[in-house]
Amino acid sequence: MSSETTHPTHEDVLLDVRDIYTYFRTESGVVKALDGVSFDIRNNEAVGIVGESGCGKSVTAKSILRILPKNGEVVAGEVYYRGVNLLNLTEPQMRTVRGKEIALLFQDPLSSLNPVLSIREQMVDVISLHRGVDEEEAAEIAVKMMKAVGIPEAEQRIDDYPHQYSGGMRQRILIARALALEPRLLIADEPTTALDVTIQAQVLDIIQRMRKELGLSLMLITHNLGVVAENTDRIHVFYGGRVVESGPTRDIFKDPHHPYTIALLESIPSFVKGKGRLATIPGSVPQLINPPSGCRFHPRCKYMTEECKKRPPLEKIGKDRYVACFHVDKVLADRKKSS
Amino acid sequence: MKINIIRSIIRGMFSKRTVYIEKNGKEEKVEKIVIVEKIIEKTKSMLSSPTLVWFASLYFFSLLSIIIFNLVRTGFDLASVATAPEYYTDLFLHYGLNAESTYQSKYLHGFSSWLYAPFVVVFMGLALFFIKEAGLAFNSPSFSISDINKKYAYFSKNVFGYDVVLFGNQKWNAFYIGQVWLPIIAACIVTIAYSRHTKRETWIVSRFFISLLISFWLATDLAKMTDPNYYYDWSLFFPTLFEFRYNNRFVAYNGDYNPMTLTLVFTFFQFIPMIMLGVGELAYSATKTYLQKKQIFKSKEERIVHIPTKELPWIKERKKTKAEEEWLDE
Ligand SMILES: Nc1ncnc2c1ncn2[C@@H]1O[C@H](COP(=O)(O)OP(=O)(O)OP(=O)(O)O)[C@@H](O)[C@H]1O
Ligand code: SF4
Ligand SMILES: [Mg+2]
Repeated sequence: MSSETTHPTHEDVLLDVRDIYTYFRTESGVVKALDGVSFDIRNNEAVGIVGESGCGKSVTAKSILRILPKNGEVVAGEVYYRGVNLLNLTEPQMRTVRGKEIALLFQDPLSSLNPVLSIREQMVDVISLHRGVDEEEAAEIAVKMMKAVGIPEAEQRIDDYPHQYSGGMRQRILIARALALEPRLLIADEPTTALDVTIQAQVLDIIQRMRKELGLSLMLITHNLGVVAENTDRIHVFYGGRVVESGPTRDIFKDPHHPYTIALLESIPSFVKGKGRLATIPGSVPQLINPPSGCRFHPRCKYMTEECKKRPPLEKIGKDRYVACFHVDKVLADRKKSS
Repeated sequence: MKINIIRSIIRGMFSKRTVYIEKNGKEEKVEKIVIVEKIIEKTKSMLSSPTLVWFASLYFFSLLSIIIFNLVRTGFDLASVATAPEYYTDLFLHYGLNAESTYQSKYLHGFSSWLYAPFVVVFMGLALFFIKEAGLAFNSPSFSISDINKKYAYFSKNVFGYDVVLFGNQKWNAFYIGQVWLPIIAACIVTIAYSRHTKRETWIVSRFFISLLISFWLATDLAKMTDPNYYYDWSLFFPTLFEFRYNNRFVAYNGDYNPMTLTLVFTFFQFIPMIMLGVGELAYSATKTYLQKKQIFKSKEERIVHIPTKELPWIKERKKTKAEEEWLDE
């Protein structure tokens, strides 16, 4: 094996995304959707990816699985999965990864299911294809998984069609189908956004329970910080196609360092106690055709100085903690003063 | 019922809408009447449309070439600039059957000649360029095939630039290239740049109708030169279509130049610049895509490193399924 393709990582690291750049060709120019994104996911770990709409969360998931639309391409960087750079694999090799090694769960359960096929047909095919079992065995696995995700009377309901299920149930079916293939990593892209609040909690519970039972890693993409706080061990905060801060979930909620993370956390009502009012982040999401130079947050940042027009590196500031900001000291001093 | 619908549509058009606009950093409340706003919007969009840019730039470049050609022809002085439109309008209008006409076009002199001349030159010039025998003989009302001399380009007089010929083909002389093709090409470039920049397409229908109107203007003028008493009897426009086929003064015309035919001919040849524009826009997009692709996909080939499938850790630890074996055989 070539030395470029594998690399010695920490035993524990399952997925190591290193400095990837993903660009899109469009009518109005090249969209630099990911601009040097780096993060990792360890075995049995739940990692949250958070950030405003359009910051590149879904594009990251698609880049990892190499399912970008035709006008997009990972231009540079490496995606090491179990030590193998996925970007180097051939398309047939890549197909042995999708589903079986890394499963993807989308936001909208209806569009991921074929409306004219029964659930049985949709599950049995996939399971027998990927696990190499015959149809009978595949159906048994399907029913078992459906029961595990809490679908009552699974033996009968497996012959129903997608529209006969509620939104929450459909998402459960997709979870069952994804997990029946025994992947090591589940990427869930806003898995609960389309569902209402009580159902959301149930679905997340199921994902958590299954994760622990099957011992898989989870990459949970969401812009709901509440979801992240309850369901992840570590988080990576995205802004304008880059990771601006990452660290253990509890540490970041307790002691955020990056001005954007602070602003993001202040926008949750319960976080700033007493204020009782939703703070919004002034300014708008950066456009990615001609993005702001240097630190992409600088047009919205109150700590901005001339230096911020250069790109701040993602620096280690503690165990597992990284932040990309030139003025962390100032930010922290300011926080101390106000509290 | 119907009345109510009409009434509510009218009321809707004249209703007021409250909008907030930012002025000096402050928000201000403004009431706008819907229909007035719509008209303003429409006018604005028309004034900035690529179609208008096309005709404006065609006009501009054609006028420029008329002036330059006249300056080179007569020598550099101000009077030559002033008479340039008149000279070229006259030249074109006296082409062919009108060679000996003494009728003076209403638009020959003064201000209107400045509006008229550029379109006369481009519209007629383009048609004459393509019509096979056109411009290859001294013209007169009594024209015979034996007068054709492929070595020359004549109108009613020898035209300036006829003796500079490209590709050994008399049609490709400096006169047609400089006064017809260069303005068209320049206008195409400007319009493509504008339409790609604003991402607005040239609307072929509006362009067709404007071309039709200009052609009609020109054709009428030419027809009047062969028959000064010629007029359109608009009251017969519809009746002639169905009834008065023999004595209509509108659709058929038995003078020397038929204005309707000329209108159609000039309009027809205007499709050529339209096609050029379409092709240009396509070429522009294709080039842009190609350059972007080169920029984006530059490192793709270098990056692919082939790893034997059996070395992949997840394939190593378990046996391949049937599907995987099929994929990997590909
Ligand atoms: N097919 C595409 N063509 C061009 N640009 C794209 C394409 N897909 C995504 N982008 C751009 O990439 C950027 C990141 O998009 P992405 O879908 O990853 O956002 P996101 O973080 O998932 O946001 P959301 O929370 O809205 O899902 C956006 O600015 C978007 O405009
Ligand atoms: S680098 Fe500068 S602009 Fe960026 S977050 Fe830090 S202080 Fe703000
Ligand atoms: Mg998304």
